[in-house]
Amino acid sequence: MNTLHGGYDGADGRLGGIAGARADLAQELNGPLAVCEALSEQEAADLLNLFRSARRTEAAALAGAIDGMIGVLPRPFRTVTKRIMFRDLAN
Amino acid sequence: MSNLVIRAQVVLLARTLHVPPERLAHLERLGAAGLHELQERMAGIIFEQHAETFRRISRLVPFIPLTVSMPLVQRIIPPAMTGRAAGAVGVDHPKKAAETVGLLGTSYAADCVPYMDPASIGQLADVAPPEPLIRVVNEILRRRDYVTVGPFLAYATSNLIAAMERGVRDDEGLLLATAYAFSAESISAILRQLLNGPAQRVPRMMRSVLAGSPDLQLAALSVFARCEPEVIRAIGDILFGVGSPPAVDHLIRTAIRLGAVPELLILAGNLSRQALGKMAASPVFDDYDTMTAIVAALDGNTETNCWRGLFTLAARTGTDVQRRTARLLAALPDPMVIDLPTRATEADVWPMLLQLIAVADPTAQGRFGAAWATLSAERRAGLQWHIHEHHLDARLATITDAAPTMSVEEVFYKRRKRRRHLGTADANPADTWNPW
Repeated sequence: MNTLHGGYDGADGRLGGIAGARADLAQELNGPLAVCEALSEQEAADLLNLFRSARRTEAAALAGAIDGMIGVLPRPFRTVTKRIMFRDLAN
Repeated sequence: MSNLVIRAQVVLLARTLHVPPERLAHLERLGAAGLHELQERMAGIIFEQHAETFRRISRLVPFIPLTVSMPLVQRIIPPAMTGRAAGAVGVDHPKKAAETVGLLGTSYAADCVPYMDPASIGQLADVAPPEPLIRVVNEILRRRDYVTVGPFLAYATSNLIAAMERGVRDDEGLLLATAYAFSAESISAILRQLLNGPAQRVPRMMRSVLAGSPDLQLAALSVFARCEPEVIRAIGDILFGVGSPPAVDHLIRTAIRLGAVPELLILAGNLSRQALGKMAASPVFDDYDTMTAIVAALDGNTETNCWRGLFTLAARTGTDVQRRTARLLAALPDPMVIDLPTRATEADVWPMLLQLIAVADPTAQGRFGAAWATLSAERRAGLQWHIHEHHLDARLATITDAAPTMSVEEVFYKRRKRRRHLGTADANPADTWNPW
């Protein structure tokens, strides 16, 4: 993952950060957008950061919502229901 | 116009990213289209990220009675997540979706809407009864959350628009929400329904606009300016038909004060002859500052619709205002003055431009003549042609003397010579000459 601050990204062994933020944003958005050309590298890095954070937030909120709904089931059914319905997605 | 649309796109992007709009205020410079593109792509990815989860939830719907599941959803699930899931699940079970809104309660459903996929609303509206959706729209308008309604208008089907005309009674709210819509096509569709629908709401709406707050007037001008020409024309007939001179005066002053001159001019450029006459007769143009502000707002603007509005409007004002307008145009920076003939061609308003120049004082005429003398020989020939066609040779001698020209025959001769020189003499045998 990109560090967003120009640091060394240990995950894939390359120098990540602000220099490649526009390209990273394009990749995260499944392809380049014309509007991204108008962004500075700093702005692209910021947007990329916000977008990733939003995705994490939504994934956590959805997981919480599913847990909430499953929580109303009688206890013995909870784990098995979740495993049957959403196990592979959780992974 | 653009300010409202840009602001709406910033708010929508901020919602997608779960940050306050102020956090993204610096991105306003990307413009409405750029922000819209960015927001749609990001929202699409987020929806897609959970699509499989929603599909699996959707499969449960036939097995669990809504009367059991919905009270639980309302108690346990935050509206943001219900909104995200609602589009996908609703499209799979449209009949149940309408029932769901009733079971959830209008208020909770309205909380969910900002997080719904706007595209699913259109699909839902086609198969489910629209009344529950209209109740939700009314609740959102009651909360004055106009930005939320905007994106959905792009996906509103003709059925839903017709239902809105019947069921959304808040004239001001409907206009304010429409101002936040991005798609000009859907704005025209809504206005067309309001114009032609059985409720005939536009006259009442226009009275509300004329007597309304500056924000409402700004939103209304933004909406009108983005409609198709025939819709603007029909709206304009009603607006200036019901508007008293003081009310029209007030609307024009508001437009100038709030930076909506381009929208005002687009409206003017599409008015019927009668409505334009009423607008041009407004006493507001007797005020020296009015035309000064209007012309100043066009400095640097090359939008054809705006220039069409300026020329058609100014040409219908009294001679004094026309002369003053010509003087103001002459005082624009050189590139703007030099390009005025181009603006006139693009906007198809040569007669109006020449009329203004013809009544201009000698100093202003001299300025136009000197500026247009720098045009290419072919363009000077075009200028000469227009002046001749409108029988203004005598009155515009200052221009023709200052901008010496060549004959049309000479234009053809030089063009042929150039082609021969380039070896393309036979490339385009059907030679035509555009006077500009």
